[in-house]
Amino acid sequence: MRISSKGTYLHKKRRILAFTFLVIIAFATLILRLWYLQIIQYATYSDLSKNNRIRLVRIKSPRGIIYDKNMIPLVTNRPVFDASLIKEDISGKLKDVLKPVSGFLKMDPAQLKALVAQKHQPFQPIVLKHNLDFKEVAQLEEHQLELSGIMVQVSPGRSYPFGQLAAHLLGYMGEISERQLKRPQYRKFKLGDFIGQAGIEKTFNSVLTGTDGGKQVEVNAQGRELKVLGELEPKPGLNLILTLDSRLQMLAEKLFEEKTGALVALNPQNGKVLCMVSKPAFDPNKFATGISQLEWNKILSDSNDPLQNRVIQSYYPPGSVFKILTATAALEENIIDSATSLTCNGVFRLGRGSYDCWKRGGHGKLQVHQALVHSCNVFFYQLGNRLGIENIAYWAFKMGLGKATGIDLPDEKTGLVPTPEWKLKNIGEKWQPGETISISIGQGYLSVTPIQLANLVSAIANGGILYKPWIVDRILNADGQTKRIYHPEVLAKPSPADSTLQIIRRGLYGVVNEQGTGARARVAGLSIAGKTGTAQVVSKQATAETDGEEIPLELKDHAWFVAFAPVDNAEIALAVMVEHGGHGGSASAPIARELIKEYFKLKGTWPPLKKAPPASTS
Amino acid sequence: MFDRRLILHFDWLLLLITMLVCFEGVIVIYSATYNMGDQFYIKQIYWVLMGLGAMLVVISIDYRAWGRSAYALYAINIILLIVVLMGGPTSQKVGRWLKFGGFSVQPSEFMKITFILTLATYFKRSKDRSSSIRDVFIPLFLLLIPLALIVKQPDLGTAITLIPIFLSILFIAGIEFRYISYIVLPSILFAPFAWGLLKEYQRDRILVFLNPNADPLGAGYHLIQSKIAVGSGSLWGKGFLMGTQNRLNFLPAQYTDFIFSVLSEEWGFIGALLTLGLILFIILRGTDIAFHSKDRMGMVLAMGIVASLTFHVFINVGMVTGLMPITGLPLPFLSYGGSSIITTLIGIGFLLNIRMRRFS
Repeated sequence: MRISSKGTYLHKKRRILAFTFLVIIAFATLILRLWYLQIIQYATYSDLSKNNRIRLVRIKSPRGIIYDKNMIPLVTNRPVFDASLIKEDISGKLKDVLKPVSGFLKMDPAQLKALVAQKHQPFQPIVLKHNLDFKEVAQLEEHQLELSGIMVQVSPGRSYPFGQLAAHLLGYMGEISERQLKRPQYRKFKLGDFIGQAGIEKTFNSVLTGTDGGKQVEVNAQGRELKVLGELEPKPGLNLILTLDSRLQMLAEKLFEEKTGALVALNPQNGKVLCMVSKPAFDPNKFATGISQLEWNKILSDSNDPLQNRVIQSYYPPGSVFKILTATAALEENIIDSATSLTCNGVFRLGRGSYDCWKRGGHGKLQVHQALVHSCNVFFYQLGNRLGIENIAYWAFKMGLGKATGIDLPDEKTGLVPTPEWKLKNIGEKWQPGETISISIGQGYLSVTPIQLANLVSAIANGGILYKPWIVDRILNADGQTKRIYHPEVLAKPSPADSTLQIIRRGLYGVVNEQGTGARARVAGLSIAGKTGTAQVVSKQATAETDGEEIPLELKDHAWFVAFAPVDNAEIALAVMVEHGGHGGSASAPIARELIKEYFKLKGTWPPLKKAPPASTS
Repeated sequence: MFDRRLILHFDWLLLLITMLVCFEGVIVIYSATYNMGDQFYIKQIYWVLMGLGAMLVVISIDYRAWGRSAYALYAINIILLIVVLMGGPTSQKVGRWLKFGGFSVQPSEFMKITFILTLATYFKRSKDRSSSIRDVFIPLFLLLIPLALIVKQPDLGTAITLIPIFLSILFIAGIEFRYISYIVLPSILFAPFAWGLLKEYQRDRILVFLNPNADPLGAGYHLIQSKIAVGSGSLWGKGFLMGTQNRLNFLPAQYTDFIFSVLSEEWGFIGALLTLGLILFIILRGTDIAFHSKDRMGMVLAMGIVASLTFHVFINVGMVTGLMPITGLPLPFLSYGGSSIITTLIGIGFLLNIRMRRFS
């Protein structure tokens, strides 16, 4: 026993010796390897270490393409050439390179010098000029040998083949800002990268952005590529298909030529955006490779604010369009029914105040249907007075006013539905009963965005459902396979009673088809319903002082028109706002008419082959 | 109580060489981080001092007494690993660190030393001749728990180091080869199935690990830049603070995992050789301590520490010279990092502990 135990003990000592032997072999291997690299291969590695001969070159990935619903590309990519400089690769003097380059690129030598003098990582290319034209590229390539350190880099840049078309919706590109670089969603970007700064380009930036590739290259002493040691292909970003119909969009923009304002058309059954116009617009191509200071200043100093997407970022008093809401609230709160008659004698008095109807002498006795058709103010003053501000605000919020619709575009504004609490808190004054009267016809502090009104009439048209308006229908990968399909999203179901909606829809049909204020939107063979509105820019008194025709443009009222068609089972609902257009009936209704006509023409159901049966009336 | 013989048998030379290599690490870190704002070398000095403190604690208690609390330490370390996994108070890095007040520690790094101590304690109990199948499977069980937890973090590099430590200890403990083959052979057979179970991105990661050139922009680029740094260092090196690969930031993690590239570039073959020589001295001193240790536990413990040091040095230096896959393993004594330095110095503490108590 003892001997065998002793045997294993020695045995184990032998194992320590064996292990020690292994350790020595391991160290000998390392030392031989170091000998090989540092002594035998010294010349090779020393050469490679000079001038950083093995480099990583980033290959930028193309962004995803944006198509309209019929797969017409609205945003694509094109090659962009940049001139860059790697300072460490210059073989002679910096001056001798910069001088000819400033000539070829038509750049101020002082500006060039300042660019190069900025602090930067060694061996990182400094971009001297973006988006070279062909002549500049040719000149740099031709003089390549004399211009050590200068190179022309190609990268995919954004291209908008239709120029201004749907510019606000698509958005534009811009260099990432220092502040954005700190946010987690931009973690993979570097200073100098371009990202979507507005519109779909911004909201879907992470989807559209691909994964950059790169290659490991060996360069010569002048920094020219000798061979590629390894390469990783860039992965393009995902493509988007929009709900937008570019043909409808084109017509809509044509209708807005020379005008300032906004238009948005939705499918009321699901919230899809069919077209969206905001004028004046801009050309996103100018931003694609970095906008010049001159162009930028021009856009910033434009008092019409062309960058503003008026559909979601501008708010206006809704004017008489709001009567739709006042009527809905009054019917729902059982203040009136379809048969209730009220009298308009041209003026409504409350306390010491008097409130006019737009028709001198008044409309006489009327019911809610005629009141909508003729947009009688006094009828709605009375409804507002009986409802009170709380009920009006309750229904306004319920129908989606005073809050963002949640559309997939950045920086949407909420507009404002005033309440007594709001006024006390923000203005510090008590609510006046007269203000309720103004609100009931859409004036006062009330303000809405065009998209909110389009959504509101959509809900009237579809039976009382508020959908979230949406633009991106699906996401495709580069091979065309569907990665994601978006579905309608219900924001809320204010669901007024069917009878209420029926009364409102008939009334709005009458506005267009029964010699109402929106008669100019009438199209034979199409059952269009609508409502006019006029948003006052200055008070009545001010306009009264300037006689009639002589009103200067900037004092003219904004013209609203909201519409949907067909009146039953509507397929299109829209809001038109023409700034300083005057009356909604004359300025905006014809635009709505033409757009609805085009919609049904594109669909192939209008003009009818045979005479259409007269549209239903109640 | 205190035995004067303990001081008499204290291995001052081992301590001196250890301090020398640590000091060299601080100097190389100074050069490697010269361009960065943070003063990593100062922090490294703090780590070394903390490591010395830990070493003193280790030395002052008989290693056999440490062995008595080995299983408790093992359990605590496992709990810490679980806390890291549950996303406890981890720091901003990949989920490997635990934050304690101002500084963060890496439980997986400490697991190595805890694991060695636990196995040494286990083999103290089992009698010499009763080398049985149990002596393979119980240690295997002790291995698999931390291994799984560390793989999950995911820290493949650290997890894999536990395996050679484990096999070395079985070998040193005198386990018969046929028993060892009972776990090695099935593992090899199982490997293809395990490969099939992995997700594609996990396979990619392992492929890049084995062949850095599969990732020309990441590991492949780092590897070639490291080889350029080492190779261009030549016999005498480019001089302190003169390494261009280092100064121009072409080296990845040049003050942690790639510290040896900086050393080789600036101090040349001579510097690299001297450094490896000093580390080899420490390791051989360890085998000597194992050889002369009074009991089986001391022998296994010393050899476990030796195995861990050897493996780290071989993998790390092999990595920066292109012999070994790119892993995230630090170079003991030299790489910047608290957990690594403290663990290494605790290991040296155990070596000193075993040596000074070889007669008691």
